[in-house]
Amino acid sequence: MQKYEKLEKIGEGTYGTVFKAKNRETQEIVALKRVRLDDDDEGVPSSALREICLLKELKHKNIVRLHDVLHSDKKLTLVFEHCDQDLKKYFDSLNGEIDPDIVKSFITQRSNRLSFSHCKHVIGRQQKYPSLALNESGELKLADFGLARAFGIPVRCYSAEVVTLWYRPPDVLFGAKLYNTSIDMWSAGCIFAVLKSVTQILFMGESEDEGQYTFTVFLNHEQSSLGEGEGEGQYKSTSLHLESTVHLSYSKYFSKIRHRRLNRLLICNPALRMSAEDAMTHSYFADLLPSLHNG
Amino acid sequence: DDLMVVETTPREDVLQSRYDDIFDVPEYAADIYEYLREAEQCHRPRVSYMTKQTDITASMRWILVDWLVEVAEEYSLHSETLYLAVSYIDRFLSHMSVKRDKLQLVGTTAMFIAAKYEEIYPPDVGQFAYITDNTYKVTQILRMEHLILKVLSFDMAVPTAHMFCNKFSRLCKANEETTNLALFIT
Repeated sequence: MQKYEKLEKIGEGTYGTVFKAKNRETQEIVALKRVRLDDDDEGVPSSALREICLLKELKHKNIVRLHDVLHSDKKLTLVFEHCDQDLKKYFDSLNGEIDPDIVKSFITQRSNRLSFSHCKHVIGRQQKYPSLALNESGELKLADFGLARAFGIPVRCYSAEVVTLWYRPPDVLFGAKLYNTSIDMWSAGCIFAVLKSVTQILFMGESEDEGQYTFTVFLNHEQSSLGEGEGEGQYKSTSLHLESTVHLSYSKYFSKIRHRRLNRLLICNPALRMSAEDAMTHSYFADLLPSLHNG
Repeated sequence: DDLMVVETTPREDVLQSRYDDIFDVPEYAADIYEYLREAEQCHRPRVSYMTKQTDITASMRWILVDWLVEVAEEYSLHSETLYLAVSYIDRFLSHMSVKRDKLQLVGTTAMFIAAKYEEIYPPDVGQFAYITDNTYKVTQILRMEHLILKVLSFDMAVPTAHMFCNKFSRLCKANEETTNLALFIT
């Protein structure tokens, strides 16, 4: 590791340790993600393999740039562009005050990169706000591709144990193995809700059971708050089928979040959930600088 | 208050057809296809690489691919994994000259990498060593993995004939028999 001088440890990723480092030649600050390879191991872990080859295909200003891969017998090092902080730290530093325009800018950037990667047949499956990184100029970058994978058309069954629990869509939470790009959009809705209410995480649960329980309670609550006839037949049982359409009206539950967009992202039926491309053209962003839309 | 509006639920049949084709990812299908065609151009094996090889022949490759079909069956791997492995082999052989006693090692390792990339539960490296009748050791497979990844510079997310063939046969609504024949030829 002569080319890079390690400065400090930043944290632990899905696998391996992340360091802040400096390129000795160019003085550029980078982030190094180091994966140890042991002799009795399985070689390059599949998460690292996918992260590397997918990131090589995804060059976008809202996706963290992979500069280089150093592969030796004992370790594999991924050299990333460095970002100062993640979204979670940024919020914590704001103490709950956030400019709505900044929220809007973040959401656009995130939708932007989601639609970009979905166009390149990649689903992230790891949308949560600590894995969204920020640089000085307020550019939002998706950093953690440890769970990402490419999908074929038609999509096949993939693992249901994806996405951090709090951001996992109900179809997958209840065990659906057949999912598509809509999985990222649910998580996007959850992050949006967090951005709008700053502190509240929508569906907290420590385990899968608890997650399912929280969600069911939440639905029941919504159900009882819906007027007569309105909710009838829309919500059938606690075991959710993909076929069931559950439209939620969030206005009672979160008085601060009064936006229809959230409703369209947090639709249980993945077939009706808004796509990243639709999200980009939503009127919510109409007044935003066109420059954010392009690129 | 327009924010309270609950969107109208589409009719049952509309819903069903939408449900049927969400797994075709209709909103992105065209973009993805275009992207895959582009990516295909960037990651092609050389057309006549076999003429540059001194120790192996096209029929040896053919035997290797046949054997990999059996490996895929033995470990219930997806066809996409098999096609990926074959594409890795061809690209690797376009750059490297390989001795005949190492050709199976290249094939096994390509399959090992493809399985890690594509499968939910890939077989472990020991199972790949076992399937070669322990001709190769685990450490040899891991070393070959290192070499293949280096030669192909980690460009493992490549489109395969399998993807295109599936797409085309769905487009022309080919039956299963035709589709399988087409997949066999490719």
